[in-house]
Order: sequence, then structure tokens, then C-alpha cells
Amino acid sequence: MKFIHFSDIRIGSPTESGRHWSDARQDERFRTLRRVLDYARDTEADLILIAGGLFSHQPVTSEMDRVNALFKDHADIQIVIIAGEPDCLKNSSPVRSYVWAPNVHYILSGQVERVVLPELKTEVCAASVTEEQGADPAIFGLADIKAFITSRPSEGFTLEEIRSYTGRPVIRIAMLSGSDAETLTKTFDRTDFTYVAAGLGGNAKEILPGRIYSPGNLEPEAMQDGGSHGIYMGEADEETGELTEIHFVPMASASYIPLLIGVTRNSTAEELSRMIAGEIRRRGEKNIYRLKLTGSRDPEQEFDLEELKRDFRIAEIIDETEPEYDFEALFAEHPQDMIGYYIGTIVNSGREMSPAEKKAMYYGIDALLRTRS
Amino acid sequence: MNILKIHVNGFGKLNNYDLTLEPGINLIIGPNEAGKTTLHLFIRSMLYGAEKKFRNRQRPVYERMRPWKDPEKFGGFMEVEADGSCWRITRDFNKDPDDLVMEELKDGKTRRLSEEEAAKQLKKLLNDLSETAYINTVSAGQLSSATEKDMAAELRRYAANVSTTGSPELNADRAIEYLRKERTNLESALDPDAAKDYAGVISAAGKLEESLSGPEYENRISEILKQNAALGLEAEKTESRIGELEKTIEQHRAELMQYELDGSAAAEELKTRVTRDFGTYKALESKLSGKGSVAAAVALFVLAAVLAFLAFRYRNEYLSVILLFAAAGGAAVGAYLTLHFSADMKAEAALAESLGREAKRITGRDTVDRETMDAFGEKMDLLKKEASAMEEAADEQAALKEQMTRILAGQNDGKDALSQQEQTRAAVESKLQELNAMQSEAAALRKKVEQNQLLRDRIDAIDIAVETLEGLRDGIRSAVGTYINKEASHMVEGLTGGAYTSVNAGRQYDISLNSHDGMISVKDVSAGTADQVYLAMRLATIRFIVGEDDAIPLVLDDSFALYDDERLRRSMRFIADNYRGQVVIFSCQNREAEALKDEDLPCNVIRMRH
Repeated sequence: MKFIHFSDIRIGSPTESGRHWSDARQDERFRTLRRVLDYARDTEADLILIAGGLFSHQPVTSEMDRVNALFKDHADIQIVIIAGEPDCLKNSSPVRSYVWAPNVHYILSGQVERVVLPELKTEVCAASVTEEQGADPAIFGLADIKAFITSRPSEGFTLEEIRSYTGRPVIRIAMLSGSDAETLTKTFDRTDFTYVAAGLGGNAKEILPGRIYSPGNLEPEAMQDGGSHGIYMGEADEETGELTEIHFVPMASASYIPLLIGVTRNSTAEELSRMIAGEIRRRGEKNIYRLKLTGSRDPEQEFDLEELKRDFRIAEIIDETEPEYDFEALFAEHPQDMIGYYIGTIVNSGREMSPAEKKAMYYGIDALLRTRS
Repeated sequence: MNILKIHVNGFGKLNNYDLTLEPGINLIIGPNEAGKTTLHLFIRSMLYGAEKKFRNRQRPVYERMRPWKDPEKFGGFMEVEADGSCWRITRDFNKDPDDLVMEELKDGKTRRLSEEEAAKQLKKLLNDLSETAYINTVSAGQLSSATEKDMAAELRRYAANVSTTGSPELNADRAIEYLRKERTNLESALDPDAAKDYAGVISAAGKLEESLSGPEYENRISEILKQNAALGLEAEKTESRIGELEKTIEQHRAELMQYELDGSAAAEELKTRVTRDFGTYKALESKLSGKGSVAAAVALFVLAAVLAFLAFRYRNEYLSVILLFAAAGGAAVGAYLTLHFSADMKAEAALAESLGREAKRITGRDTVDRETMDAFGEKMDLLKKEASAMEEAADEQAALKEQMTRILAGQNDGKDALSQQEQTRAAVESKLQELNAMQSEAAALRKKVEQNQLLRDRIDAIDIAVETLEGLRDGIRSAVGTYINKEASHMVEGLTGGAYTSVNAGRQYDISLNSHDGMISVKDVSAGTADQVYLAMRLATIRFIVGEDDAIPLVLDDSFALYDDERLRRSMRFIADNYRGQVVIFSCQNREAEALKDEDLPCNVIRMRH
């Protein structure tokens, strides 16, 4: 039985709103979802597990329709979805009354529900995050099968029925969103679950090798989301119930890339623009960049890189360059005039200049030099 | 410091050029293209190095003066004396840095200074005069403006600069104004409402989210649909059961109708009545069959007749009357009995008839006997059972019908609840869309807030800078301005031969001159006078910067072109008397030489040729 496990694709995420590329980014999330589904079809996966964060907020009908249409197109793949923190289940949640495609099982409870898939010899025990209750792995109880026989069977199948159907041990998967690596390890370590599909966000993590995995944010949200983003692809043996294969497949539309640019006294705005543009094209225009400029610049130069923001996906430009005033030289040049006095009063005070004072000095000296006769 | 010897290896148009100067006044006369300016720049480059920066929008000295004929020969040396020592400054401008070599020449011996020592010594020789200050004071040309008005303005600027910043180049007020404008620009880029709007949107979004958690927005559609489905099933079941019962009732009713019965009450009534009638019938039957009664009746009649006959026969009054009474009595009793019997017989006949009818109706038999009655009884029991069954069914049906009404009411409520929920769904949907829009807005506003913060940081820095500049300016003005005014006034008096006694570079930087006739603005004086005031200010500034021993050679490059002879002589005199250091005058005419001669002022004259 082949399965795919991902989380936090966060359709509808508003974090890059206001940029010229934010609408495109929204579409990219849908496209990534489609890519995952197509990948599932191409690799003949039987089951998709979405461990929370399918949406970034309570979804509206159009968003659910769009996602459901994708699911309908892949009607022969079973899809089990739980709500995570961003799209947690509330009393008023629209997902509660939405009619999903028949191959979709959306868990509408904070208690453990069992989705039984006899054709796959698999059952998925999953719980959504609700408004009242965060994710508490303890609700998954003990490995003891008996605990589940007493819990309500879903769709009329009891575990015995499945067992009798197969005559062999079955693949059991637990899925939950939230909590933390330590608690998950402690809870699931000695259980007999074949696979635990966790949803911790952030980056992909192998929490307990061969057992517990968290695929991280499928699409990065913000600058802090560096690293690779993608899905886990796994395989479990339908005879033994053992996990036989698990590997990570990178699959995001875009990454956040920080670029550090050192400038010198000779750097000009055009030069920088050209260099940055070249670098961005080389690394991929789909990615989102944060530029940080450091170094000393010619005091006459102002780096206006706004055009870059129009042409590329730049989340922010941090200009930490400082006008290169050789204060010692200036002091030597102007020992008897205001510039000398200004530098002298501050430098001779002995204490460290605060950033505001430093900036003020640049401003003051710059203004004096600029307005020279 | 006095410059004694100059050797130009290569610099501009000068090649292998030597020049000897003396302390005191030196006059270098040459035509316009002879190289005076080049020499001028050479001196400066010896002192400070060949400048590679742009200055005053001119190409750097280094570029301009690089000889294109013999570029390897680019440099030279200069020998100076100061404080009893002699120094030779040698530079090769082709090297970078320009390989400054400084040697001390003492008692015929040459001692080469280390790099560090050389730099220090040079600085000492220059009295800390920076290249900028040098350019603006000791080696400045004349006022560059053509018209008198512009000259006055230039002078004012000069005075303003020096007295507020200590430098002829820098202007504190312009710098401050520039900063204030920058500040205004930054302030206008601020979005003053961003923080407020951000807080507002966040709060509104929070309220909206909270409102959605109220019970009226609970999504109960699945629940209601389930309920409605269940009701639907129940309705179906009930309806079909009612139908079944109806059939049963009809069957029973039809059956009973055959016997002209409409219910168990009727059946019970019939059975009871018939049973009772039969009893009565049987009683009558037995009564009537008792011959005794009939015989008695007949006997009585006969007796009555006999007695009546006897009564008539014997016409004995007493006996006849008694016999008549007896006969009457007997007849009466007989009549009564007969009547009674006939009533009974009638009754018996009637009963027989009705019993026969009923029996036939029910059993098909019309004989009124015990067998028939038994059969009747059995059949009646059956019919009674059927009637009960029918009535039970009818009861059940009635109950179900009542239930049905309740179910229908429930279904209606269910429909209402569903449409209510659908409205709620729509309301939730629109609220969620509103919420999403708010969150996008909040993200954009947060960015604005961050940008605002950056702008504010810059504005704060500008405020500090302005405050500092203002403080420095006021301080400098009071110290420097006063000094310069004093010195310049002294010089103006000397230069103008007492025509003007003092000069005052006032707050508004209008320079006013005091004369016996009162104050006059520098705007209103002649160009020549303005030039003299400029010279005076320059000298005062030099004094201020370099110190009162005028230890730097004063270079005057074509400074007296506008002076008339009288003024020129006076100026020469003044400079000779007042400038304690070396003076180098460049000129393209003879007038200065003649003026010096006229004033009996010693000077060293050098002629430059092409």
C-alpha cells in the first residue's frame, strides 16, 4: 500500500498579501496541491494523508469547491484529512456541512475517529484539532487493539471484521496535528501503529525513524521557512503491516532565499541592480528573496532598488550599508571647523555612540558636505 | 613657514622649472599662459599631495596636471624653512601613494625622515591647516563674482560660513535647512494612521472571530439533515401502517355489513337481545303449552255460561244475582285469562317471527330451536371478535394519524431549521470572507507600521543632527564670529585707510561697514571696497585658523585687478605691514611691482616666461 503524507499547504494564506505576486502565490498553492495529487497518481499511491493545515483559515465555499474538484479528479485515491491549528474545527466551521467527494474523509471530531479502508487493508485513526482542544496524543490511547474495539466503529466495520476480511494483521496509521516531537515519541513509541503521520509545521522532521514523521510546511510561509519543503512518500506491506519504505520528496513552488550583498565604495545602484537581477534569475524567479545590503558605500550613493521589487519577488530589502565617511580623515581635514567639532565632540566623549547618534552624525556631516559652497 | 626653493620636475605645462623665493613679499609676474596657476597648484600639491578627488566640479588636480609629454616626470621638490630648520619636501606623483620624502637639511647634512615623522612634521608646518581651508583662505583668488551685487552676496556667504562653521566652505544654516527638508520629506512619507488602523483592523478581526464562535453560528446542518431524514422515514412507515390498517378496517367492515352490523356494540346488543328473546320465547312456549291454563280458561267460561244459564232459569232474585255475579266474575276471569293467553300467544308468535328472522340473517337457519340458537351464538361470537379487531385497528389508526400530524409538524420545523441554517451558512461565509480581507489588510498595514518605524528612526537621527548643528553653530558664532569681526575690522580700517572703521558680519549675514557717516551695507559699496573686505576677512580667517604669527605663505593670485592705484598701494602697504608671514603675489601686469616700489616695500620679483 503506497501512501503520501503532507501537511500545511495553507490554501488561502494571506502572508504575502499586498505584493504584486501575492495572487500568483495563492494560485501556486493550488498548483502544488495538484502536483502532489498528480504525483500520487503517477506513483500509484493509494492513500493521501493530510495532517492539518490544508487551509490557512476557515475556508470559504469557493476555496473548498476548488480543492474538492481536485480531489474528485483523483477519485481512486483515498484521502484522509484532519484539521490543524490554522484551520481548526469550530462550531461554525463550514467544513462541518460541506459535502466532499466520496473518496475524501474529513475528520470532524477532536476525538479519534477510525477511517477503515478494507480494500487497502488499512485503517487510519485520526483526530482533528478543535477550538476547545489542542492536539493531545494521549487520546490515541494504548497500542492495545481492545481499546479500539470498544470505541465506536466507523462505517459499520469492526476491527475483527477487517481482520477476518484479510485474515492477517492490518496496516494501522495514526494521524494528528500539533503537539511536539518529544511527546509524540513518548506516546507512540511502544504502540503497534505502522506509521504515525504528524503535522508539526516548520521543516520536515524524522521524529522517530521508521515510525513518526512530520513533513513540515509544504509551501513556505515566510522568511524563517528556509530549507526544503515537500512530502513524505511511504509504502507499507499489506501482509505484514510493516512500513517498508519512507522517503522525502521536495515539492514546493518556491523557496524563501536570503541574499547577502556586500557593497563597496565603488558600487553603484545600476551595478547592484544588474548583479542582483542576474543572481535572482540564476536561482529562480519563482523564489522569494530577502535582500540585505551591507558594507560601506560612497556617501553620495543612495541605493534605490525599488525597480527590483517591481520585477521580482522581493519580500524586503534591508539596507545596512553605511556611508563611508572616514571620520579620521575628515577630522584631519577639518580640525578647526564645524565638521571637526562635530566629530570631535562625539568621538572624544569616549563612550560608544548609540545607533541614533551614529546615524545623526552621518546625517549632520553629510548635510554639511552636501551644502558646501 | 617660508618657501625657499621650488623645483618642478614635471607638472602641467612646467617641466624642469626652478624658482627661488624669499621670506617677505615675492612677486611672480608673467603673462596669462605662463604657468602661474600651475605653479600655484604645484605648491599646493607639494604640501598636500596631488589631489585625486573632484573639487568644485573640476577634474582632479592629479588628472589635470599630469604631463602628457613626459608622464614619468611628474613631481618635484620644495624646500621650506620654519622655526630655524630647513626641510625638503619631495614628491613623485606617479607613485601611489605619492612617495612623500621629507628631509631635514641642517648644517649641510641631510637627514631623511621616516614616513611617520614626515607626516607629523608636515602637519606641524602647516599648522593643522587642512587642504580645504588652505584653498579657501591662504590661496584663494579674488572674489569670483562679476557684479557688485553678486560680490556682496559672495562676501556675505563667506562671512556667514566662516562665522558659523569656522570654515569658508561650510554653511551651518544651509545644512540645517537641508536636514529640515529631508525631515519634512520623511514625515510626509509617514502614514500617521497606519498604527491606529492596524490596531483597529486587528481588533475588528478579533471581534468578528469572536462573534463567529457564538451559538447562533453553529453549523448544525448535518445534524438537521439527519433528523429530517429520520423523520421522513418515520413518516413513511407511519403512512404505510395507516394504509395497512385502513385495508384491515375495510375488510372487517364489509364483512360485518353483510350481517347488517356496524360494530361490536351492535353485535353485543343483537346477541343479548336474541338470547333474551329466545328465553322469553321458550318461557312463553312452555307457559302456553301448559294445558291447565287453557282448560282453566275454558272451564271458567263454561262455568260462567252454566251459571248464567242457571241464573236465568231460576229467577230467584238472590240466587240469580249471585249466580249472575259469579257468572260475570267467571266470564271476567275467563276473558282475562283468554286475553292474557292471546297476548302471550301473540307475543310468542311475534318472537317466533323475529327470532326466525334474526336467526336466518345470522345463521341462515330459520328454525327457532336450540341448535339454531347455538349456531347463532357461535357466529355472533365470531362477529363480535371481528368487530373488536376492526375497532382496535381503528383506534390504532387514529393514534397513528395523530402521530402523523406531529411528524408533519416536526418535518415543517425541520425544513424551517434547515433554511435557517442555510441562511446562517451564508452569513458565516460572508463573515469569513470579511475576515480574510481583514487579515490581508492587517498584513499590509503591519508592513506600513514597520516602515513607519524605520522612517521615525531616521527622523529622530535628523533631529539629533539638527540640534547638534544648531548648538555648534551658536557656539562657533559667538567664538569665531567675534574674533573674525574684530580682526577683520582692524584690517578693513587699515586697508581702507580709515574710511571704514569696522566691519560687522551680522546675524543676517549682511555685512555692514562702519564709517564716520554711519553704517553702510556691503551691498552698497564699490566692487573694490568689497574686494578689500574680502581680503580682510580672509586674513582674519587665516589668523583664526593658523594663529597670529601667520605662519603660512599667503598666496594672492591676480587679486588686485579691480583696484585703482591708490587702493592698490594702500593694500600693498597693509599686507606688508600686517602679514607676518611670507607673501607670494601672482600677477599678469606690472602694477603691483610699481605699487610696491612706490611704497618703498622690498619684494622679490620673478618673471615667468612662456
